[in-house]
Amino acid sequence: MSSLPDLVNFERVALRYGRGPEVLSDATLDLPQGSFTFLTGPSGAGKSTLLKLCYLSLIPSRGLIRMFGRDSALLSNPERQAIKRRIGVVLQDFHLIEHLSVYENVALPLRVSGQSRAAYNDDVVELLQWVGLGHRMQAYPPTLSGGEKQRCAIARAVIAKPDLLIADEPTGNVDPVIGRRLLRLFSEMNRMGTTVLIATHDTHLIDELDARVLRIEDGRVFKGKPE
Amino acid sequence: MSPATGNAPQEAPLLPGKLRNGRALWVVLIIMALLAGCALLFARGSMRLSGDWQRQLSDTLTVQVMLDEAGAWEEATSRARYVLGETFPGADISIVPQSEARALLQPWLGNAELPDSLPVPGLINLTGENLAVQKAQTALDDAGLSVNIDDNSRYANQLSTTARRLVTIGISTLALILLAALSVNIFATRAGMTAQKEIIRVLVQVGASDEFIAKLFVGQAARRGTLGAAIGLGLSAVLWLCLSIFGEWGGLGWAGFAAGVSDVVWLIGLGIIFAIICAAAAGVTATRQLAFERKRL
Repeated sequence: MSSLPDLVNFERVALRYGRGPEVLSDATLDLPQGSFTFLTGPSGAGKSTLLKLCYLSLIPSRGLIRMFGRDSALLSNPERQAIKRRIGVVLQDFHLIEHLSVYENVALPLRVSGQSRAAYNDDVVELLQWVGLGHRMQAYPPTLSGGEKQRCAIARAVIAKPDLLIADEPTGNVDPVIGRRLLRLFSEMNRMGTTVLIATHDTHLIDELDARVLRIEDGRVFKGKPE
Repeated sequence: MSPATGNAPQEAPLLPGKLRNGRALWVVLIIMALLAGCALLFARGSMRLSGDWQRQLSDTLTVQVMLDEAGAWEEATSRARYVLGETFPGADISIVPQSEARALLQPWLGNAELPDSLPVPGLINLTGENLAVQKAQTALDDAGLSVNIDDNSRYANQLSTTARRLVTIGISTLALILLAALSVNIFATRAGMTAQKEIIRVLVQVGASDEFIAKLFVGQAARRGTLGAAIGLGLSAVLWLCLSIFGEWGGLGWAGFAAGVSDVVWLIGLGIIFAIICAAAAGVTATRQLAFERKRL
């Protein structure tokens, strides 16, 4: 695994919001292609901020971020969007579009990439059934439970078979059975070549897989589980 | 049919159809289209009326036959009519009766009784094509008649100037209304983008390009512009039709101002321009706003 090139590479990356203190300081990390990595650390340590930098939603205050071998600061807008299409993201607050059905929300990345409904319909239906939302395809997000929203967001993140999957507490709102099922989905995608980065507090989840662990403490990134 | 059958219904629009304050925006756009339609029809009517008036005036001459004594009225006007008839064989020539000619002096002389000995000039109206003033003057001079000939050019010029001003007012008003429609759409797009920022954030996150997102707003604005124009311009056509049928146009005669078939074509053209303005305003605003937001990161 270590012989494969890094998909994501941070070198002494720092980030501050406005004139506030640095949320991340000199964060250095790499995500080799095909790796499965857990990111852990206490609340407020900067996990979500680091993930946002990974999916190009923020620009670092200093330091170098390489995504897919490219310096993120030098990316043109179309290049940035092309890279974003290679990344699947699951956020804590789901970010579902409320006036679209579960089916439409999940199909969104494929629709944005220009695929026709006929081309993606079977994939979307199959995935929704797999994550246990087959019976809720025509439901709208406001009528879903927290767990259902979570699964919908995960299905949307993985539907386009991204090269990199980033998830922020993906099993936080689901019961243990569904949680294990989702972890199996991530693991399956990882076996098929997707690089996975999951931020979580859940040590049980980390123990379920033999995966790399990175932890954030005081804005810095360290290897290995917390003591 | 459900998505599971493979024959799923059409893709839902990515932007919600109903906007907050959407009804107010519709009303504004319809009123603007109505005013734009009225301004266009007014400008077109003014052009037509001006053309009609000038055509009518360019084909007329008024000859004043000056007399030394009142008793010569009959003989002098008949002779002048004969000479004019010989000079312009195709023209329609009519002598204004003496009583009517005397009545024309009333605005200057009031209700005072005119003495019978007053040599009121004889008036002859000519209507026809190619009525040259100089030719008439020479022919009447040669016949030993003392005449003044008015080809209405001063009046025609005044009418023409007035008509040009009316057309300018109509076109300027139309341009201002279209400018206002542009501004309203810029404002509406900005407001729409603010209201839909969560949706935009999701679209950006899943890799939608600026063009893709801008197209959503363009489509929405184009639909709004097309429907607003159809309703507003349709109302303006109905309003104009009613005025054409029931209005008196202040005694000007409605024939020139009344809308014709060609005006419908112009209204359709204006509708297309209106929709394009709405769509273009949304496209440019959305693209610029997205670029601005990206730089703000």
